[in-house]
Amino acid sequence: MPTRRRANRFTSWLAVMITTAAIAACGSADPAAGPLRMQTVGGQPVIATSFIAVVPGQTADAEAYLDNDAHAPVRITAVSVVAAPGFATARLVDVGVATSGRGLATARGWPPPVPSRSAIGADLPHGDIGLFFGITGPAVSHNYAVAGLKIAYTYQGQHYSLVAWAGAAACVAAKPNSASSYQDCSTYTTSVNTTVEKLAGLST
Amino acid sequence: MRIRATISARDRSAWNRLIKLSGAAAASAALVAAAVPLGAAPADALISTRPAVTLAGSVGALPAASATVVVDVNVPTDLNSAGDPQQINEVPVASATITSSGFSIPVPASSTLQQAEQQGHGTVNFTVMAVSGSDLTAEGIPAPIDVSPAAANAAQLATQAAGIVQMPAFAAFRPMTATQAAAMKASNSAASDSAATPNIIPPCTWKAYGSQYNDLTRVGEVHVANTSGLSDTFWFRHQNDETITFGYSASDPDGNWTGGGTISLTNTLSANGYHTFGQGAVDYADVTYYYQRYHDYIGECPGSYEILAVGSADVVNPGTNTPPVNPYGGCKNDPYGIAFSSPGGWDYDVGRGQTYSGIATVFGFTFGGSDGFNTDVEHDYTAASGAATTWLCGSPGDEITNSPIIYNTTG
Repeated sequence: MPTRRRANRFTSWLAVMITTAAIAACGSADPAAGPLRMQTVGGQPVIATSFIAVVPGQTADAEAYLDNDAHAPVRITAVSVVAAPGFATARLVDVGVATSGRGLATARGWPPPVPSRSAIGADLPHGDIGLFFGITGPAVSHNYAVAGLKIAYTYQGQHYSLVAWAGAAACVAAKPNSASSYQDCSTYTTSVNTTVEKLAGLST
Repeated sequence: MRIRATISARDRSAWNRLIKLSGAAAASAALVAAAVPLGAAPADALISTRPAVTLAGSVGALPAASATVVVDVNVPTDLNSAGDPQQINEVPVASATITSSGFSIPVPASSTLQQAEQQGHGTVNFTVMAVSGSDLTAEGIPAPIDVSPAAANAAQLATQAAGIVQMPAFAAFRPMTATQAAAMKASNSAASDSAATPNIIPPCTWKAYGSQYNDLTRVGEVHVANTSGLSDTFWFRHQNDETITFGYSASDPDGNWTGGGTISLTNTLSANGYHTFGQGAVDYADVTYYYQRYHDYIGECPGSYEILAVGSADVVNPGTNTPPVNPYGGCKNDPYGIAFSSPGGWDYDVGRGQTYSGIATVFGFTFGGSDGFNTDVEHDYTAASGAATTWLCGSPGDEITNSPIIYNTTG
């Protein structure tokens, strides 16, 4: 579905472009006080950090776990990545919303191999929401990471934003299936995960 | 994933295992009589008349016309070199006289309570003992009073906000032993009729009986798809909040145990234990726990003997037996299954503890329990180069993020 892919990439680019404007336009609403939150278990945010080795131009796909507390839908207006300090920041290629109960640990290429639709402009109903995102980086033999996503959305006419912690690494390699690429990516992601846990307040 | 360090098998500090008595189910309570704080409790200066927490529940049918209910705070003392308490003092902090099964007893803030809060990282371990005529019953429960929001789980936060702890059903009243009856009578010198309900229930002191016993204890389970290159590293964070049952015995240190409630272990160390399970693993994950029996030499406690878990090590091992496999036959068939491609990894940082009914049997008592549900358990799945795409999922009908068990299958 090349047409859809192009459209998704455009909306993704657009999303990144309008993020700043959307957050600046929050008006009187507290950006962090909206109904969209990270899923929690036992009071702790649900976080998974994933990694995968990819060829140049290919996305590394991951998932952030969200929850709409409100009984009315919220609409995503923009999504951008949150950098993991000390690591080269991956580029966000696309964002999708799970349309079934199925989710994503890690996958290569966009769209992910589970049902989804474009996230930008999507109305998210009450309850748990899986937000898929694909990231990549420009240079072969380099690793890129994000600590999570910054999500701008509207709810009942007000603008809000949320940082959803979701560590992900895209290890760009000419031969991603080689043992060395895998090992290098695994080691790299150990450090990324430590950083994400600290940012999310999970570290003890 | 985490930086993997060599972990000693028994790296524990003095206060790394504070015992918390816990219970679970709620019981409706009817306040029959006002609570009476026991000002005579040792070192128990009242700090505020405002209750720190209220314990409510039902002790069941009373054998006599009334019952005296006492709330004790558990204070571990006299730690040995391994940090295990050689004595546990149950200090009375509130009481009430009831004429029917229900009770609701406010516990005022006091120095004893404050000390217990500090030892338990905001959670206080209570034993509620009821004496009616010449019979008694007791139940242990922890009460989160001042657990920091960062460390508290949702249930703890809700309990703290409400200020009320609903206790599970108590065991049926049982006759006091001769030693217990004599101790009660000594504390109630005015009571000449042994069948009368004592007005005063004395403080209770448990002293360590025999040596500590170590046993592998089930804390979780691991499922790895049977395909080359797959693995799951099961992490057990030592700063855990394990909930585990405990027992009383009226006369026998080696048996005839009855359930007394639940304990959990709070550790201050943050070391991690882990074990990597390889291709096709369907295993329980065990951790060494330390168990200790205690004896009441005077007759003032709910039992003559008590058996408790007092600590845990931080080395994870494969356990015995095999857990049930994924009930869907494969996670690809699970409506909440998630795809897992190689070469990659998925590190799930937050786990919900699975409750098991038989996690260890020590001195004839079979413990049940559940690891805490926060960051204590972590699964780190990896799919090496060349591994086929597999699927992960949780318990049936549950999203993986909400499930205490994670399955990994090829299809």
